[in-house]
Amino acid sequence: MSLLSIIITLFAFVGVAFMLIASLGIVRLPDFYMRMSAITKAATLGLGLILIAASIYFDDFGVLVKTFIIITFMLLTSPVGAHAISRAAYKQGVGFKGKTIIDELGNMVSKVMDLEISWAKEKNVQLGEELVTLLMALPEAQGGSFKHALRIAKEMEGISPEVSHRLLGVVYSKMRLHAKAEKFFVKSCQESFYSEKSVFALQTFYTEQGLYHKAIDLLEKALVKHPENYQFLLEAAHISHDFGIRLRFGLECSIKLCDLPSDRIPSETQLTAAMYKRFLTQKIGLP
Amino acid sequence: MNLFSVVIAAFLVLLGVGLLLVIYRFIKGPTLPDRVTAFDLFTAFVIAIIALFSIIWDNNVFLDVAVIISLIAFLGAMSFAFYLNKRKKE
Repeated sequence: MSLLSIIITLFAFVGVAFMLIASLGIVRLPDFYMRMSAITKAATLGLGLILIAASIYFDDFGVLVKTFIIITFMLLTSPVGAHAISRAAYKQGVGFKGKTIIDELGNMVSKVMDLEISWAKEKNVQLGEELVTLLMALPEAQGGSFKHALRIAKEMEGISPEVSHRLLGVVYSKMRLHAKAEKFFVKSCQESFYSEKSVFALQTFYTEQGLYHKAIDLLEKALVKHPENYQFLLEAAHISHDFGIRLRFGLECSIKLCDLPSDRIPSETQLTAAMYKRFLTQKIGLP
Repeated sequence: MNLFSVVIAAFLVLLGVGLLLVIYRFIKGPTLPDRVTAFDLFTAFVIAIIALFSIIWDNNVFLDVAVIISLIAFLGAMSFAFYLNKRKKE
């Protein structure tokens, strides 16, 4: 046997071994999802190695192109096909067995159902908040809907207007109704006297939209009410540093952060604050 | 018949054994998705067998067949997934 045929044999052997492992996996593994994972990984690699062996054997450009086409096609299509079939199988309700135990979507659906029942019994701020967040995160086919989330958030208006308005803002921003979302966020901030949750919800909304000036103005307003809140200070310094706006205000904030008593803020925050202070000082050009 | 073609023929036999295992799952498979994945692996095995066959017979025209089969296998899997999505729950 020549060296070339030894190399071909090696490639073919490893490929055949992988394919055999895949076929063992499809017979032995206990449930559908495990079988799926076994075959899609092993079969692509095994087939690829066998095809490489063939292209070495023929030593011809046309064969190389053909095998390259097959390998690329397998690499592109087998994950897509596997995903489509597993998704269809999950929708069909193909069950779990053996060590497949994590079912995040199913857990979410059952949690939403539990929350709906307890929400019907007793209107509670925490319950409502959790329910609205979950309803927004669920896919539509599994019972998630923005309209339902909106209805629950509106029902909460009677119990706690600031939380209700914040949630309404979040739902509207997810629905891409930005004007309405901003209105509700601002309302919520004013009603809660710039509480951390409301301010950060609005600030995240502004940053997602790219309105960094508005975000930093909001933090300035919040800092008037709560001058000692280190999270507001940190966020303001962060935005000012990252986007290069309102540098002096950012510097003021980072200096304030460094001057706060060290037992009130975590050590990581102190470090970041010192870093921001140094960078901002350099950018402004102060001595 | 030299040693090389004997070794490749032995690989073909091994692939045949694997193919039998896949067919076992295809017949037994408790649900339809099981059968679809078994069919997917079946086509992969057929492509591998064609590649080894073309080595034994020293004829690279067979590889054209492998290209077509790899195309059809993907279409088959996707259309089955589509059908499963449309079908009502068992």
